[in-house]
Amino acid sequence: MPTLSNKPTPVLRQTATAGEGKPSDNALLASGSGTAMASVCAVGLFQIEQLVGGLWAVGAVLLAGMLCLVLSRVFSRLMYVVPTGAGLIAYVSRALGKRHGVVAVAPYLMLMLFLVGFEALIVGELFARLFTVPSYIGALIFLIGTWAICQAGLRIGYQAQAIATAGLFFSLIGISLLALFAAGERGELQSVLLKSDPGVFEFAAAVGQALFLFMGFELLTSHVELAGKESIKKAMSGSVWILIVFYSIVAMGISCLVIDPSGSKQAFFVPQLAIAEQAGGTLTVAFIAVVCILASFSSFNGALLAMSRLTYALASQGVLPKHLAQLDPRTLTARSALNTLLILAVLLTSIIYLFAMYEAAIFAAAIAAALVYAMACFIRERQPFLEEKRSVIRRLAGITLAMGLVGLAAGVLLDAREATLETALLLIATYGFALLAAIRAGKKSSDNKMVPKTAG
Amino acid sequence: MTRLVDSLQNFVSTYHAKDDLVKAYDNWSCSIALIASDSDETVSLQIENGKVVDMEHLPEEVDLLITSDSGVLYDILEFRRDPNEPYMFGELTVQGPEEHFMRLDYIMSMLCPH
Repeated sequence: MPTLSNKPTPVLRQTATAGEGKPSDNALLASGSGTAMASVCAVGLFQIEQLVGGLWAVGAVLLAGMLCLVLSRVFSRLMYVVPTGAGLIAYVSRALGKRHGVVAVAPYLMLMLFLVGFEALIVGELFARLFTVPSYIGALIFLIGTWAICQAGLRIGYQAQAIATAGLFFSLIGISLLALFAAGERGELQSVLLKSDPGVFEFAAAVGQALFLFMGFELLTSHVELAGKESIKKAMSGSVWILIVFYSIVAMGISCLVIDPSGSKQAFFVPQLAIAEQAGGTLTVAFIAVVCILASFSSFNGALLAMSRLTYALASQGVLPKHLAQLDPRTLTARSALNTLLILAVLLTSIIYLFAMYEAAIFAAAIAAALVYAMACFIRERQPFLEEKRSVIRRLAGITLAMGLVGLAAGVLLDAREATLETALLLIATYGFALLAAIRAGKKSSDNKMVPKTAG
Repeated sequence: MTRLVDSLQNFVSTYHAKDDLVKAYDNWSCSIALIASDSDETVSLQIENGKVVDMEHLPEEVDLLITSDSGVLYDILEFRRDPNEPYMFGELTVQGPEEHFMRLDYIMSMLCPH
């Protein structure tokens, strides 16, 4: 007879595990910051620099970083109560129901896929610098190459991701510091850093955009099944600190750019290459290009596998087409979901490229991030996450933070200027799709009954 | 015998009846504990080379810890509910290496196609 427990509940084995072992604290730090630290973030920083400039851009990064530190505490609480790899969608569903979970989180994930498209284009530009291939071919190589590796069931290990992240961190900080010293030598440091007061509204929009730079740090909670709650909690706040330092220094480096972006032959301006060119010439550009490609690859590999499993899970419930709910028995990868995600990624990359939706992709992602973070603050003050003894003042502070984040999202949209319409269309499309998926999820969960297959 | 024990035994019987599935996982060994959070009832199973070899001894350490309300566990073990749904919506939590629960998920999908 199976065991019943009046005995102590078993604990998770801490020794060597199947596949990859328990990640170290440093590996988690690298994973948390590496997910957020994508090549597209330099473009986001450049946009913030264009909006407010100099130390104001650094201020926007700092304020957004402080918000994310508070948010890391919020996410820690959510993770402690519901320790699941499903992350955000599980938290929102537990507090508000399944439909709300899908509506709140699906647009965020869809816009992440849009960002992958933009990331692929940047990698394409980096490829174009290294080899004589058109940038869109480089983007395709990146997408298809990463997809093929995921199809084979290979996941970039924590150590490899840590090396790629550290490479990106130190090399971009290095060239940014070189740019700063060069500006100092030219006697321009004061003029490039001390820009005129941008106004409250512009600064708020810049903070909203800066939230985009931290997007993904909270995905560390999805490692809780393997790493444990305390490690994740520490790694989340540690990752935000790393990102604050990184973005603050790179923002100052971007302020020191003397290259005129309008003279760029590229489809869009790639600031990290411009700083590299200014700081060290051709070899430095090639080095930075290689480092950025490796960091993008390590980040996209994990994201694609995670998204394929979410797609598989949604399809298995009938929210998405049934044929996507297939696991490969050998590699345990969701092959059909991976194929569909590749097609989608190529399609979205083409849309961004053909319609030059570079700014809109970043603005829409920033807005979705702010809204998801607002939702996290809101549900933290509800059952099952609310502690009985939590003071009214803390609860009010949580709700105020949620409202503030919604305000930042609105600020980003209103200050998107010529990209306002495209940004709004992107948001309408993703939230509209999420609404339809939520309706299907509600419908399917009520009749999701299964009948066992007969033996043989 | 409690309902959870009964459900687990029936589930294991259904799995063992699928020779091809058991054979496909003949290189898989894993210990699993199912914890009903509302009743504090715990059952466990030891899998060796794809076969469940022990459901009687509750080990001190396991490779996979699965926690949920007893109602959800009954629904899954009695094939009324796809485990992906309660997992994704936070009603069921899993602790342990991904490889183990991906295999478990695959077994579920083979026993009960969605």
